[in-house]
Amino acid sequence: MNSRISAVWAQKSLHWHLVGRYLKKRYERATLGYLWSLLEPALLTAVYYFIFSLVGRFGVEDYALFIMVAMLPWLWFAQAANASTGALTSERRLITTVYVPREVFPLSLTTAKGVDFAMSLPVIPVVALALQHPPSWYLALLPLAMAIQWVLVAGVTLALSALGAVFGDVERAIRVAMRVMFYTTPVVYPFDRIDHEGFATALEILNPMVGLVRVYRAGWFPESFPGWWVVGWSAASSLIILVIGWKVFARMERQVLKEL
Amino acid sequence: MAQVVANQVGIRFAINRKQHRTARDFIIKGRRHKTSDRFWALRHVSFQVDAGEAVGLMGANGSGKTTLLKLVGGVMTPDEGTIVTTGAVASMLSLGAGFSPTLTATENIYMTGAIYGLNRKQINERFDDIVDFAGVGDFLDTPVRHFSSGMRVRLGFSVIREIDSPIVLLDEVLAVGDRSFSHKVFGHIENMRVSGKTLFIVSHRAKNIKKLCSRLMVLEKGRLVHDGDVKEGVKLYRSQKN
Repeated sequence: MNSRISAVWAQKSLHWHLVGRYLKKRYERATLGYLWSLLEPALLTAVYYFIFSLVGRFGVEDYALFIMVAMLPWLWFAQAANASTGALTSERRLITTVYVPREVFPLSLTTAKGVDFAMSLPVIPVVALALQHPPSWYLALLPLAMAIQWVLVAGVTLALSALGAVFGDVERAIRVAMRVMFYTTPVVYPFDRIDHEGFATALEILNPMVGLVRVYRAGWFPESFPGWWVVGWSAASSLIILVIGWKVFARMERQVLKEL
Repeated sequence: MAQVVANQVGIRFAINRKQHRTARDFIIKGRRHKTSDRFWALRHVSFQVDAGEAVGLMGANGSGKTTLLKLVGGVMTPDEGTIVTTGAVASMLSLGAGFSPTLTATENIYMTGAIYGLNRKQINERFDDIVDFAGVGDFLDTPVRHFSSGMRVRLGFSVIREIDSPIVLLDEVLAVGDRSFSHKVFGHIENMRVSGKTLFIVSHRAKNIKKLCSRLMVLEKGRLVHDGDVKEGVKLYRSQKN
């Protein structure tokens, strides 16, 4: 395991090349370019805003901002998971001709989607300004939340990239799983509106995004802050997922290389 | 000094490899374990190659030559036995295939360099040589997807040529590119041999193998049937065909 980590670390520069290539593809070939980074979360927010406005928006003030601060990190997670099944197969030609520590592909996908996330962040103060909604001191936790989320997303994409390269079903399963995760993560509703306490605790334990999303949200809605125990658990469980994801990857690798 | 040591190496594939496996195959027992669906692409292959040797590989299509190069290069792992390489490997398997089609020639040069651990400065120093050798000076800002296959191969060769790894894998590189280019390639392979690199050369042309290699391995259906004298190996390879 240690030797694998150092082999990946030695490929830092390839990692950044791959991230750069992703961003170039994304921003050069689309006419609206960078605007898409802002437009996509804004449009999704608008959709949920109107739907849940019909049923009282859970009594939340500045509901559009409330959704948006959680929607952005959610999209980082979901888009990385959705793209993960292709992370290795789309690099087939490179992987089958040159030795590189294959982990670098899912990891650079993780970073690339994270850069997308960071680049879409400016949309939040714009909305906050329009609604005259002040930030809170918890905003200082943004880098910590991003670091934890990188670890989490890395673990997920490592496992799914290897599984997706071998099993055709994985792609479909992810789509369903993301739907379930979206509604079990408090993106469009406040977490404390879940009435059943046991259920809420179970979600908090099983889904690291539950804690993370509330940390992000606390930057603008301080009452969302889940407490330090939950932050600690999000970090610990993300790390556990990274270790498991990496183990799955290492175990599947031989098989993956044959399938490519 | 032993540079590549293979000990009882074997690797097997599913016969119908393109068919994606489904979770059902995994859950329903028996399907996964049926050995008749699989074949050994290589088995019981053992050898030791010392630094500075130029080893030729011959064998009919599907005899396992490319698979063996892939095992040496670390882009596949054996199911049986071990293969240990000392030192970095430069791979000229399907040249230029690893390029990103959307990136320009320049960007691909830097990216390939990064894969082999060259930093920006090191690539800058070699950049002009790469471009000259490939003869693509006018197309540096063109995305590689617009390149002809010959240009792509030429650029692929020219980049890997600048990598200082002690082991080089060459898979039919003399059969690609036009006459004048393969002449240049031939000259370069000779230079590499003289400078003491360890070479693995796959070719179907006995003439090239005789000129370049000091040792020949012949594969037949995944078995190493000859390892040693070049002339004898070529004779065996020819008799194999008939």
